[in-house]
Amino acid sequence: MSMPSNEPSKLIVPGRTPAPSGPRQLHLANAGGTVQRTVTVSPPRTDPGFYQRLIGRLNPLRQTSRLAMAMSGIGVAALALDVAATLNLGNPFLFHDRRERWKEMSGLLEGSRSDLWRSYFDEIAPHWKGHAVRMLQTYIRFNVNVLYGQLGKISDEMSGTMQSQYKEVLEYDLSVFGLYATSAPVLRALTASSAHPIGRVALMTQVGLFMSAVGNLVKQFADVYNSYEGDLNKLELKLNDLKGAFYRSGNPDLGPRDLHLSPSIEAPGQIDDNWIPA
Amino acid sequence: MKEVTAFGQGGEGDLPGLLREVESWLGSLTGALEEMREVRLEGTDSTGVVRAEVSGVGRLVGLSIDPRGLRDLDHVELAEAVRAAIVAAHLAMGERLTEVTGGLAGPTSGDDPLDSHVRNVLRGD
Repeated sequence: MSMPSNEPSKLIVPGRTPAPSGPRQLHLANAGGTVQRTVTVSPPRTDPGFYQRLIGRLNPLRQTSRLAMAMSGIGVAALALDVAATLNLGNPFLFHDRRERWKEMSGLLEGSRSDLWRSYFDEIAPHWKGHAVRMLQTYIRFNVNVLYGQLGKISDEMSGTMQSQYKEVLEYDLSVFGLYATSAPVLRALTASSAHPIGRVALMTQVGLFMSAVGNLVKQFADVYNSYEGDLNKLELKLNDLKGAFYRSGNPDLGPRDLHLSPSIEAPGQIDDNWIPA
Repeated sequence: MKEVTAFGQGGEGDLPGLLREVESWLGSLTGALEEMREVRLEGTDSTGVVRAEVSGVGRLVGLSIDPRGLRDLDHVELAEAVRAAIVAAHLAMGERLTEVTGGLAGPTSGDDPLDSHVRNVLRGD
């Protein structure tokens, strides 16, 4: 893998690429081909290739560093650390994409909740009274609104966690790349003089410094990873709470809870009693 | 060095274990280099007239010339003798370095165990 010498290093960070051409329209047609409804959909997010570019740019630097480690005669641990540092590099786009999806979901939930809320308070509450209105209000206030709230909250938290993970993965990627980019030229120069004992001492010292820096990065990332494991575990517990709200005994195998309004609200025989004009 | 071997072969192992092993290894390297800083190695030219002393990291710390040998050497030969003594001292230093750091060496094939991983990423797999 070689890097074209006339091409400046360029790493495109997810989310900082030019936005794809605006939203597109989706036309939903019936069996006869007549358009029944048109919805606007956001364009799919595409991976800007940051991770691929990172690996592509990093690999020549790794090879230089690995050669230096091997030439130092003491590089066995450094070579292992190089493998660990490289394998822990991740694609931040995956987290960026999830952050956006959870954010969109949160927005959709809040939009739907508001639609329902406003529909009731603008269209029904001022114009009707009677048993149905009370039943509807109770349903909206204490059932739908609470569930929407819980779903929205967990979507927000998921989006926030994905953002944090995106940031950490990106920071780690860039730190590892930066370390190799600054160390490789020094290691290359020292490798060239390693046939002389003084050059070999200098190379060993530099390999030791490099390893120390890589080790610190990997350790910090491992600590961050463990910390996010904790956050994800908390989110999983909250999702369990949600399961309890949507499934019988919180167990999807036992089927969903009945969250519908009582059919009596529109029973023809009770219309006049249930729905009284205000 | 169980984890060093596992990761060195491109496998995944216990990361905290690897970091512990690397830390211990770095301690040994630092110790070896400290030891090298303290030692003094000598070298002489083929006639034994010039004696050079270097530190374990290669700094020239002493140079002595036997006055009796000066009668047989002109200025060019003396310069050559000084150079030869320093080279000999550095060779001794190299041998000591190999000895001191011998325990830190390990089998290194030179192949990159992540070669296929890198190729897969670049192919977009």
